[in-house]
Amino acid sequence: MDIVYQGEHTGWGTLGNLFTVLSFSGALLAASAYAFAHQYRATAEEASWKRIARTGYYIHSGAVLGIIAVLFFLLFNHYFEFHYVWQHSNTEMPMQYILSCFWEGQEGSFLLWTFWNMVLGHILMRTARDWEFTTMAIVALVQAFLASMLLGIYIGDVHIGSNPFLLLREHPDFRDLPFVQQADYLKNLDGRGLNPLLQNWWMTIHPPTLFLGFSATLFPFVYAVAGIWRNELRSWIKPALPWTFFGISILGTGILMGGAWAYEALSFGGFWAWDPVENASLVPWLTLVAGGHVMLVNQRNGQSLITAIFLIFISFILILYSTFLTRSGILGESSVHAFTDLGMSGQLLIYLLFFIWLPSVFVLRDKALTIWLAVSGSLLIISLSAGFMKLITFGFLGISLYIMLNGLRKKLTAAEGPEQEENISSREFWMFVGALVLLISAFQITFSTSTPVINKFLSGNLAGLFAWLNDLMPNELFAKLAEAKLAPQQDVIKHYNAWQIPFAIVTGLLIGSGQFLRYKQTPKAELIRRLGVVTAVSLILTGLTGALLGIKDFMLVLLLFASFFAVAGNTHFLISVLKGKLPKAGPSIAHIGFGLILLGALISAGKKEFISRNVSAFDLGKDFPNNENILLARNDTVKMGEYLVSYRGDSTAGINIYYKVDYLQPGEDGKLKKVFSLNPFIQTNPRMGNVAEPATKHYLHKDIFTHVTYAKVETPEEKQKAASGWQEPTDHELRVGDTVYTSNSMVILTGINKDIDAQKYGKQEGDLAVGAELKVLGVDNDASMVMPVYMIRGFTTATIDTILDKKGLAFSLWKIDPETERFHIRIREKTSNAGDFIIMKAIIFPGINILWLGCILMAIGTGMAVWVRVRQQNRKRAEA
Amino acid sequence: MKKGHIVAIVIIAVAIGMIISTFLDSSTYATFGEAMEQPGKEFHVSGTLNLNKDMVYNPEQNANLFSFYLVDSEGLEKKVMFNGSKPQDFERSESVVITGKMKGDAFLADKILMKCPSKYNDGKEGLKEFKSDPSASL
Repeated sequence: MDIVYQGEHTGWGTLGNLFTVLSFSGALLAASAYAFAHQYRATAEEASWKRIARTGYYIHSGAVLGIIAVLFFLLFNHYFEFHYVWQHSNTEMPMQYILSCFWEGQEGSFLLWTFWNMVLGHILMRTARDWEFTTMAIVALVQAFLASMLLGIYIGDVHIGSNPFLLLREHPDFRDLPFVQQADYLKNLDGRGLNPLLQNWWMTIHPPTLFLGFSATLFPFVYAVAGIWRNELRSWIKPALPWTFFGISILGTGILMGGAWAYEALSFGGFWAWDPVENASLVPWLTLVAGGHVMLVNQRNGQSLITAIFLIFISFILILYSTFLTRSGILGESSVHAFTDLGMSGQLLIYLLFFIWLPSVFVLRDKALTIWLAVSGSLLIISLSAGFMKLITFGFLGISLYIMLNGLRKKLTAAEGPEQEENISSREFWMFVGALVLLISAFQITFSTSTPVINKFLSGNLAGLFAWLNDLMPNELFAKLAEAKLAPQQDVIKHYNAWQIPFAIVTGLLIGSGQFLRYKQTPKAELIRRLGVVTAVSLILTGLTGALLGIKDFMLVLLLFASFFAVAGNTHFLISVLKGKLPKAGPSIAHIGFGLILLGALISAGKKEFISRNVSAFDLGKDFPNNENILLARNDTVKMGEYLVSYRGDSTAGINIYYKVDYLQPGEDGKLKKVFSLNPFIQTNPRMGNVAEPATKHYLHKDIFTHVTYAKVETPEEKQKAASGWQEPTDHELRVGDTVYTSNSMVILTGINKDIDAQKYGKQEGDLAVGAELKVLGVDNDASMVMPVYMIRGFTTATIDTILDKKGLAFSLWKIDPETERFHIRIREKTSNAGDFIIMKAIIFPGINILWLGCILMAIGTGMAVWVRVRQQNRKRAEA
Repeated sequence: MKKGHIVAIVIIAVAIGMIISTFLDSSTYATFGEAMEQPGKEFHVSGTLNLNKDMVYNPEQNANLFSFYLVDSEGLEKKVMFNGSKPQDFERSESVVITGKMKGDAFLADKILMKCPSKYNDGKEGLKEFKSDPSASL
């Protein structure tokens, strides 16, 4: 018998599914109708195809908005019968994080990406004019691929997409569980909630910005491919330029926001850790920057066209590749923040391969095209049926790329003859060189990040080949390749830095000098004079800073010089050449920003200092040379760097346990004064267990970054028990004036009181009573007086104890030795006094604000460049 | 010779250098047995914790030393000494990847990557990494 479930809102799910299907079919309709509109351009049919295409795109757009609206509606109303809602939200969650719930899962983040593409697509539709048909056809095709990621259809065993409107009781993990067989299973169901680590301000703005950046890379790509399609290899560049720099600006901002989040909310101990996921978003940015510059070169001299097309093409492909890396689960053990596999790696791979293949179709004509279509079609079938055979997949990739590049070369030579040699003193030559440096830098990062992919590729036949080669010529390289068990580099940071620092040096030098070069050719005298000034200033700054910070490493000194050179060169250019004219200042400001990012990264990371040195006498031995963790017992004061620090205890707020640490410095009168407090905390995260989160004190010139690396995390019951329990007492024989120490205080016997308040202590006539006056001094000189009393009544003795609650101490005077004048004091401490300590790491990052300033300047500079270009184009159009 | 060719040759040379260095710099996933054959060489070893044996962390004595027993994929158990503090919730992790080298009969680890139980593992960030040196950035 069918169960009639109570309280479900399945109608909304049906509506959502309807929108999903509509968004997919609308995109497909738009793509094909736009292609036909291009086919029948300048005929009577053009207008009707265009109308159909636009209608298709409107349907798609409305459907995307519909999906988003329904999903938000479900999240807001806590309809936990939907798996996505159950998985990513709960009733306790603050409403402002509903946004984060939306894109926490893969489906939501695909939706976010689709949304931005769709919005930018409308801008393209309005501005592309005679480029509309071809560019929008490709945009709509991309949208169809993205929409398919949400379909959730099963064709046999293969499933296409993952549906965000799937019901909890239909989800493969749940449908066989008994609780979903009950009609009222929803009654007491709460969601699992958003990962608390993502309940962070940065997490509400970082993903939308990053995905807008991802979307922005699509549009130069679309123009480039449309250029090949229309056989207009040159004219696509001009309309694509603002898109490219828009992408550079937004993607760059998004990446840096990710760094800021990692720095503020994660205990990575820095803003950049060369994590595969970070790398995956950095690489397309590098190639996009390279592509944008080569496009500018081409606008000046008409050269380097294939390079420009290739860089723009590869930027978009690398975005897809990075999506594949982070979402297919292939990174597995090598990244801390990859999505888990939803079984869509095949679909993602097809998406990637399709857009690598697409341009090759447009360069071929007639018979060659037919052959290539037949070949690639059969390769696809073989590959799919055999589960993506490696060699076929890679062969397919290689041939597609070759056809595209070779086709472009032939077309260009046929039209214009071989490319001209560029003058070595021209700006375009060095811009081109700079672009290539960025390209190799991107290649290095991609290659090193891809070890899991390389392992997959090597395992099997190829590994056998290397094993054979290793037998022939034994060496480490072949041996490693033969095993096909490559793990990430031993020292990841060192590995990347060894390559990236030289690239950064070259880039810095090119950025600093490039603006002074003129297009075509530069007069030598002028160049030498200007560069002389910049070099001199940079040398002085490098000398001063290097000496001040004690930077000795040769490469780092060079990098220091290069970053000063970049900043000084562009500042000089801004002042003396542009004379502060704002419309043209965008590039200079962006370049100054980039220079400052290099400078800030170099200083803050290169000269970061662990002040949490372990000062205990325990020898860690030479196998454990670093001792970056410090033990802070509660209320104990320990020297750390220029501060004396004292851990004051913990407090709980929600799922977070805060550890208050005071930072003290001696004031003018020599007394210790509190300078500031930090509250690093541990999040008892129900999803991930306990997660340490940092607390940072920001100064203009440095940050003090701290996080708890170890603390006993107790449940409230355990805490209660610890608070009421007592440790083994300690006995002390004291004379007046003597001092004893407890874990948190200093106790001095200041005097003896024989005049005991009878009423207060219940003293009767004939009793003999003596009190020990004890002064209890805490670490911050807070003094309290306590007085345990010893009483003799007839033949019995009694002790009246005193408890000092705030210190967790109890005192009793249990014996007096009249001959030696010694008083026997017994001190007990609360269980919570012992073992109340934290292990902490504290790092000083000097000059990290230079880095953030650089980020802001770079975003502003690129933004200005986009704005100026868009305005120029509009003005030209208005004139024409 | 054209300038373009020179540039191309330089790029190819650098690229080959990068590829080789990536392979040589990369560590290898291995078992304790393989790590023991080459003491002093860095390996990644993955395995499961032996919860029946003592995990020792005495921060009062040494906040930077934590030891535990790990069983690798071939069932071989070794004592692991980690140069750092005990990671939060260590007991709860299902499998652990450690990076380091064999010395004597113990494995000296300078990095621990924990894989949390699957119920924690279905959002983002199922893995947690603990390094003895949280080195960052450029």
